[in-house]
Amino acid sequence: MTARRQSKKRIDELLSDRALAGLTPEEGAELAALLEGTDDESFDRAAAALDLATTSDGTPLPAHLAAKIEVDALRALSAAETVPLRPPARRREPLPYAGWLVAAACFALALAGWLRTPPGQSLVETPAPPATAARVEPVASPPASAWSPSAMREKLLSMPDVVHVDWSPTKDPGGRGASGDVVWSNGQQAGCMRFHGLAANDPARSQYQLWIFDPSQSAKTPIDGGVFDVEPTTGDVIVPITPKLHVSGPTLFAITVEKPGGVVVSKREHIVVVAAVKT
Amino acid sequence: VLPRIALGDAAAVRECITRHGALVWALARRLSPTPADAEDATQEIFADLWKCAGRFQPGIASEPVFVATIARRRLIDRLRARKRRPQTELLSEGPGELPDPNRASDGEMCAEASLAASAIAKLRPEQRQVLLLAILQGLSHEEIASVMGMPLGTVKTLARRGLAHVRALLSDPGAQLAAVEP
Repeated sequence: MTARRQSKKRIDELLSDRALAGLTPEEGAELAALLEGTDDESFDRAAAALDLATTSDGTPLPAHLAAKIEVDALRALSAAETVPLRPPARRREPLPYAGWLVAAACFALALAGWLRTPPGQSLVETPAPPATAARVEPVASPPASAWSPSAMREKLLSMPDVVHVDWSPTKDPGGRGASGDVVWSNGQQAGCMRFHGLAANDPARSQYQLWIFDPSQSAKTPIDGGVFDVEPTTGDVIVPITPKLHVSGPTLFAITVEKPGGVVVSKREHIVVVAAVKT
Repeated sequence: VLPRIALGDAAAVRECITRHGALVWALARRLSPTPADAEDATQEIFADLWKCAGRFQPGIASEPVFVATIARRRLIDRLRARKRRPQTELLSEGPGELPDPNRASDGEMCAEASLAASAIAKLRPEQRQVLLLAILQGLSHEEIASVMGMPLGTVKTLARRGLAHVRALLSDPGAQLAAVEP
């Protein structure tokens, strides 16, 4: 047998083994070397056809699983299409104890303000009336049918466990005139924020960061919901939520202004908008 | 539906899940030790599918075969990672049960699957048994050798030749055409 025929025989053996039972790392490397950068999936397709011939697919995918897969898919592309989200800074910074007290006080006031504190005496201002301007997305205005944050938002709104709350601007100048809402599904562990009138930021100087207050975490250390940028726009901005931890039942969403890349723990010097979940 | 997904059509995602969800779910359940593991596997398979949708070429394989190929690769990876035989809960079909090639006539089976069913029905019994144990139960060659009391080399030869036979039939356009004709 010539070397070439031996090589072909070995390739077919490895391709067949891969299709039926997978290869060890060593075998995979051997196959890659023999194929010299190409691939041949004909054995895999033959095994798949056999599998199809012997598989009864009469049981539908469970609805909750189908919904999760769909949301995951939309989230994946939404994250890719919206403004780039940089990971938060990993470096932990020492925080003065006094800062914590202020932060905790701010949170308590913000939450108290939401809970029926008379307007005018609250840290939280009365939300602006709903925007009537044409709604646009900040990134390339994808068609409604395409993967987009708005498609993900619509999907989440159809979830039975959806949490849907409006943003309220605080007295921080950065939140003046901002409105919008938050949509969150615990079951899907996914959500979207919509903003109207939130000031554009310079990513080289600062970024917005979402914090999710959750019973699983101390109010001093809410869950990091990801950093994001807002570009100049007259319409709505929709941003997917990217929590770093499991969210069991959000009680409050808050947006702060932080240094580029975000922070691990916020000093809460600039809380611009909050959205409290009514219980 | 896969080309539309590759172009970023969100509606196609739902359509794909509706169209192929039951197939992926059936494959995942069969090769997963628990329902929870099957759910994880199913999510991973669809994540792979979204990434690979642009590679789909209708002239080479049907969508079900493409989806099953992606699914099998992921499931085999998971099987190997577990390093043990899955204790499947849903093995209602025996490992040696033959597929019914006539299912194609009522539209339940794609042309390639119908051809594969015909091909495997014509194999020698031990060759068919080896292939079905590998395909249906995800057994390794070593495990099949143990189950059937055969030398490992014999199992490998039977499996490779059997799969090569199915592959050759699928590569024959005439055979494929005949399979889809009424």
